[in-house]
Amino acid sequence: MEERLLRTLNAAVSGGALAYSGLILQSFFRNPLAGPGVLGVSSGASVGVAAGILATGYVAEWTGLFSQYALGAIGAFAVLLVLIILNKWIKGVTLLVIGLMISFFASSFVNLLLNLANDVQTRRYVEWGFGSFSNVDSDTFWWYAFILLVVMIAGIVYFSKLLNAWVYGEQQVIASGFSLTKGRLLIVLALGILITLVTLQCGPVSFIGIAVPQLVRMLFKSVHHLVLLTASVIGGALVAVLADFILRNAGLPLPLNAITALFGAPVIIFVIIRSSKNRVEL
Amino acid sequence: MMKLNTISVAIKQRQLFSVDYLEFPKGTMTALLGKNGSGKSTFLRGLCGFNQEITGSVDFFGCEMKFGKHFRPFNGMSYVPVKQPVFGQITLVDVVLSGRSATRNFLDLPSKEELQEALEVLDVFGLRTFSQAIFTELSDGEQKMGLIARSIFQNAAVILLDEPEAFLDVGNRARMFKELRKLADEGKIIILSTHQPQLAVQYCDFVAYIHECQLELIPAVDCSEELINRVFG
Repeated sequence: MEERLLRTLNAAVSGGALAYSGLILQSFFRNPLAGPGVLGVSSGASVGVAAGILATGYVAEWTGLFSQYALGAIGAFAVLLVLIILNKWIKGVTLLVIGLMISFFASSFVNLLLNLANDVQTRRYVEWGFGSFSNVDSDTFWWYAFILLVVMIAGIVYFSKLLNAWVYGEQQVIASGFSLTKGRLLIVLALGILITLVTLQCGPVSFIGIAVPQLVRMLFKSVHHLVLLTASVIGGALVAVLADFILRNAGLPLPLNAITALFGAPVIIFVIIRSSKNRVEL
Repeated sequence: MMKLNTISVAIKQRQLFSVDYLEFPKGTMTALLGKNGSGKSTFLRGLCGFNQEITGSVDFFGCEMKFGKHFRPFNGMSYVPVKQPVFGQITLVDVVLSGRSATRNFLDLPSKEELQEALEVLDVFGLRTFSQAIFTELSDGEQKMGLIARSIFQNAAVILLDEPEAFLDVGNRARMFKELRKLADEGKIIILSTHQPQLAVQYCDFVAYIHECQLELIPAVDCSEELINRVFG
């Protein structure tokens, strides 16, 4: 019973953090198709995980946990920084292609690393890659949930006004009295922490981070990020808990990413069709 | 009154133009003329702190500040770009309300009074009926008017416009300049860059032209056909 409760809480807080990160990425890059997965940020963390498994032989266990988180964070932060620097010259869909390329690059790098690994290590990595909310350790989970919640609440307080200005472009950010450099750094910091933690805890969970913010934007015509961010956290939590519920009751050993893709992919296709109808530039 | 001292505009070591002293009294409208790439937009954006390609200092109603790294934009100064990128389903009234975000607290929630005020400003431009329309779905002219409404709502004493006539048809161009003239007559300082010298001469008080890396400010009545031909070569 306690295990079930922890697993559900894990799904809720992780799903919420993913959707929250996705919404910030979309507003930040002014791109409705941005998300932690599409932009390669999760892949950056994956490289760290693979390196960590090689170094310690364990995923999400106390032994070597710190080195894994550190390596995962380095991967995620590196990708975020590369994207922000490239965003000076590269916008829209092209940036997503760059993100995709980063993902490919990261996964072949992981394959190279796994060549050095033994069978057990490789299997661990592959299982982790399917995504799952079931790897909960009752000792560390509360810390995990606590950090995610603190970063998200602090983010809602600080980023709401910043992102409200950001959707009009950088000039509006300056006109609203923000420093661009400081804004960028804080966003990278918050997203790096959230995406690294969730990716290490649950694997590279796909689609929640891109589809849920889209649904939220459709539901609320309001552009206020106070509303959008809060709704994303709640929406992400609900979708993740639902996906996990289906997974547990399906009676089949399905990976989590199969369920999220089943719901997420149609949403994305719908968004693309709708934005080309409205002639919105991606 | 806004005064500018020893202004120099340069992009990556390429000197665009310089001017020793400029003043813009309240209630005046000034047109900035010059060839493509002469530095008009860079200058306007620099005044708002959007770039660091301008040096010198500004005296904004008695408050003096040097351009450069530590420059903080004045709340009473507002910039209307050629085209405003907007991401997401943002309504026209929300765009207008965003004008005052610098004065709000971290939650950035507009008050009821502010909403009322924003609607009244939209009324001036006959856009009140579109207040709940999605901004990106409006016509280019309506978007432009909406952005000027945002500047007015912001309580900006100085409104800088980058090619306000862009995307507009002949009739709307004249209407746009008439609206701007009205705002100037109400006491605003309006500075706009334009590629329409005739309209500039007709509606503005001053013409500032950039020629051979120098900016020269003259009364609009002195702006002759011959001068325009010289500037645009």
